[in-house]
Formats: sequence, structure tokens, C-alpha cells
Amino acid sequence: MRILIADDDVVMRHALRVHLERWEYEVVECADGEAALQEMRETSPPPIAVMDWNMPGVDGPTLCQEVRETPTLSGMYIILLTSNASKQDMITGLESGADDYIVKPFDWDELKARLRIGNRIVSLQQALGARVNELQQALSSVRVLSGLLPICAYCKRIRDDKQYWTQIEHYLSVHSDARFSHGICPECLVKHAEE
Amino acid sequence: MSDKLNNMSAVDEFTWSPDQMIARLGGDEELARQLVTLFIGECPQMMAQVRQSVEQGTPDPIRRTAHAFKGSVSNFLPDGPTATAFALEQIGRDGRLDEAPAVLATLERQVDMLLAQLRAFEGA
Repeated sequence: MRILIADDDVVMRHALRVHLERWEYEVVECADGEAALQEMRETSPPPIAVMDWNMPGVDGPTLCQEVRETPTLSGMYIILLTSNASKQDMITGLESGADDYIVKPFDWDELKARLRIGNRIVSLQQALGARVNELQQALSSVRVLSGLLPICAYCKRIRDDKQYWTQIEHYLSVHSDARFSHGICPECLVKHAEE
Repeated sequence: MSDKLNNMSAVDEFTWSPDQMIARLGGDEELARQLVTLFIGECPQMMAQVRQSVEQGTPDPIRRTAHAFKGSVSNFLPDGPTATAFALEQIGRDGRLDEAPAVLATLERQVDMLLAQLRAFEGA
């Protein structure tokens, strides 16, 4: 999975890159908030971000707000990694839109475990999004059959969008997944046998 | 905390442990050496920014530069220069500018000591 890291401290950035690559993430590295913002505006931004709070230009909480206000980025999982350790800082960071908050210096195994949570949430969101798309497609095909259908009162043919009158079974097979097997009902059998 | 920093030479007494750092990095000595080299390269510029902010005597740059230095040096140890940089950050936050030069002097001493230890490790 791709992951964005934004930290102006070159030591921390290098340590993060080495660890994340060891944990098999594909790292996109940014040296400040401005570069991170630019990366997020690309067509396929990474779904997880680990970002510092204090950076030149755009800081971490501002980036979080930007992400939450942008519909295409709203599913991004963000961990704020900061040495701002007070409870009020943590509340401010989470309220700005971060999903998690880790105080430096931190334990690398803790970061790994928290990233696993982010990974799981992103995967669930992606699966949910795909399912919603499938359902929307199914719903749109149901809508085709829920409108008003002009049907001949005598022969029961249906007039389609191109103004052709078609057999009801043909119309339904085109506009739904229904298939027909032909038989004769008892009443028709009697009626047509007499003829 | 600043009084303590002004008066206690014991604050200068800290030891950076390469073994502890390597252990924190999951036993990766090569990564520890890379981080040490990066910090030795970056430290003079970061300290120059801290120094300049104290000389200018405006609270927010002191808070900001001390915070940035604290974040970087905390990759190596939780006390010594990390604690002093935090004290300087608090001074900037609170606007207690008269205390800044003495705390900066402590920080400079500690950073010199740390750099000496890091260089010894780098050259070993």
C-alpha cells in the first residue's frame, strides 16, 4: 500500500522511510507541508499519510483540514506524528481531521501496529466503496423497469424507447436479467386444443 | 525547569547510548549510523536558527526553532539536549525572553557533548 510521509526533519524522514519500506509500504516522501499538499492533489494520492505537525509553509493540522474538506481525499487515513505532547494539542490535532496521534519519541512497533489499523480501515473503505458502486449499478438497471411501460391492451406488446412494439418477453430480457422458458398454461392448452 | 537549567551542572551530565539507540531501531546498526551522519550534517544549521531566534528576542521564532531542534535530537535521546530544547520552546511559548540566553548556553554545551559522542560512534 502507498503511504505519504511529510516531515521537515531529515533524520526522522529517513528513519520513517527505512522502517516503512521494511514493512512493505511504498513510500512517497515530502520535506514540508506544501509538497505534501501538492502530492495529495495528484490523481491518485496515497490512501495513508504520516505527517508532522510543525512544518514550514503548511502545518499538519491545516493539511488534515484540507483533506477532510476535499471529497476525493476524505477517505485518507492520517496519523499525526509530533512532539506536541499536551492533551490540548492532541485534541486540536484530532479535531483538525487526523485519525490517530503519536507523540515523538515513539516506539517503532507502536507505529507499525497503528499503521496496521489504518491499513485495515482503508481496505474496508475501499471494499465498501466498490460494493456501493455495484449496488448503484444494480439499482440503475432496476429503475429501467420501474417506469411507466406502454403496453398494447390486446396483444400485450410493449413500446420501447425507439417506438418499436416488441414482445413482452423480448423487452424484459433486454431490460433485466430475466430469462424465459416457453410452455403452455392449462387454460391455454384447453383453449388452443379446441381450436 | 529553567532555574534548574541555569544552576545545575548536573543537567549537562547525560550519556548518549549507541546500544540503546540501535535497540530502539530493532537492532539495525547501519540505520543508526545513517541517522547519526544525517544529524551531524543538519545540526549546525538547526542550532544556528535557534541561536539567531534567541538573539532576535522574539518569542514565536524561539518556540518554533527550539521545537524543530527538539524533534530532531529526540531521535537520539529523551533527556539532555532534548529536555533543554523543550525548556527553550516553553520559554518561547510563554514569552519569558530574559531566561532564553542562559538556557541556550546550556543547550550549546549539551549539543557539543552529544556531537562529540556521535562523531566517536561514527568514526568507530
